[in-house]
Amino acid sequence: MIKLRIENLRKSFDGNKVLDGINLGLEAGKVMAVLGPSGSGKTTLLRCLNFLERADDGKLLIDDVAVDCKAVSKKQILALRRKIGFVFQNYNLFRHMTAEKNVMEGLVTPRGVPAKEAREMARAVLDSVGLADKYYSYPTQLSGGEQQRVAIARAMVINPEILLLDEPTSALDPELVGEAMQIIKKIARSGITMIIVTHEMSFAYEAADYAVFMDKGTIVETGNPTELFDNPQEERTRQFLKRLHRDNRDNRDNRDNREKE
Amino acid sequence: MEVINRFFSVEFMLKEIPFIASYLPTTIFMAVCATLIGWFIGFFVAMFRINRVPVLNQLAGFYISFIRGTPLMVQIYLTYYGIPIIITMFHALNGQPSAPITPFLPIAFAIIAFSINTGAYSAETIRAIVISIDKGQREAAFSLGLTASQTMRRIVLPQAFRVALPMLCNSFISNVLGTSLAFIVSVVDIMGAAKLVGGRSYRYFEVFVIVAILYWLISSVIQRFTYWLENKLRIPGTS
Repeated sequence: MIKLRIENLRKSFDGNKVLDGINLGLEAGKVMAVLGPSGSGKTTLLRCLNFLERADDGKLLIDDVAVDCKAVSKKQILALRRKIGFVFQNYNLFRHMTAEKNVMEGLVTPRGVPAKEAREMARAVLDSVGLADKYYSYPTQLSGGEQQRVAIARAMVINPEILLLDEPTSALDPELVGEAMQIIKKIARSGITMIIVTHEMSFAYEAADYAVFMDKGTIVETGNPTELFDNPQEERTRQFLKRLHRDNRDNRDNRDNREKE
Repeated sequence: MEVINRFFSVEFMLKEIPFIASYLPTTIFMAVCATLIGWFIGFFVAMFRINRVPVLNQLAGFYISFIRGTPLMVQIYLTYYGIPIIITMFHALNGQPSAPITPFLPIAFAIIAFSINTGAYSAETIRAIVISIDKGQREAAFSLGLTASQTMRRIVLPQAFRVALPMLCNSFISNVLGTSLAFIVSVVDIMGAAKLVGGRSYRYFEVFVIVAILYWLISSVIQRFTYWLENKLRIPGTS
């Protein structure tokens, strides 16, 4: 069953075509990894899906409910956002709230869950990402890895049908990436529909059902990760992957070296 | 001692402090009202500016520019003489040119003038603060399903308030000091009382020393309170 379909999505900033006719479909419970060089429009694509950015043209179908991006109403946007969790690249935790309150906010204010119940739910999710001792910590008192896990908990506690992650590990120290990816993998296997922008190829290999390569606002190539990575059909994909392989290897080497030291 | 007393009488000062200080509530009342009403006005004006509400945005721009470009004393006179004219005109337009003007207390004119003044200055402050709140904070709220007004109430304003607090207190202090102009529309506050005592005794210098000390005391207390509150509201882990 198709959970999410994107049809002819277009977006320009000042005449600069950032998304130039994107078409994608994703079945319920599947995980899609989006790769591409910076400036390829990956982040804008994710942001258009929950209307943090308004696409200039195109259609979204979620559970066969069609939304015209040009003529979407505020009400429709709110309804869509309720189904979609979003993890930001730099987490964007609410600075004036403790970890627990950060996670509770999406339950209490938009959904009217009573505070007591929301607190229990928030704590359960924080426990599940290993932050049982950080309920009362403010974002500034948490490490990057911990902040990221709060961000994941905050997106997950509302029980979204679709989870969008925008380079969730790119702001982390290399030695924390593996740990973070474990958590995301666990979520990926839980039956949620997920789109993740990432350059962690190992994650895409192991946890993604589809890999999508984007460049200059278009989808260059898409397929299952093994096929796409091992046997890319397009020259642009090949070049990008070659570079990425090298970077990933370097990162891994750095990580290994650090562990040896 | 006797010679000194002729020029500067401590005894006289001590005797007159209670009388002048008994008008402190008027001063503080005016300053509190002006600050609260002023920031209330400022908040809406800032919102008109930030959201570029057509017409209101232009009016707000004119309001801010006019108030910041004219002396407070002139604004007080404009309020004092302008409001009765507007009321009379209003009556006249309703066909009752001789209807009596409901008497306004002088303090009401003063508070209106100070509020309008504070509104213009605080609008710019509030605008700058709200804009300075990281866009990502709002986006995170939107992504959780908060509406624009919920985001404002739950995320932006609580963060903005912490930043605004010192400026709110500065504004309160400057209003306390600014109310010393209220005597020109015959409000008797500590300044008004001082002038009365001065006129009675011709010991103007002593009287104004008292007034200076009183203003300074109030300002210091507000300053102290601000530090305390800032500390209390500080997000742990930030400086």
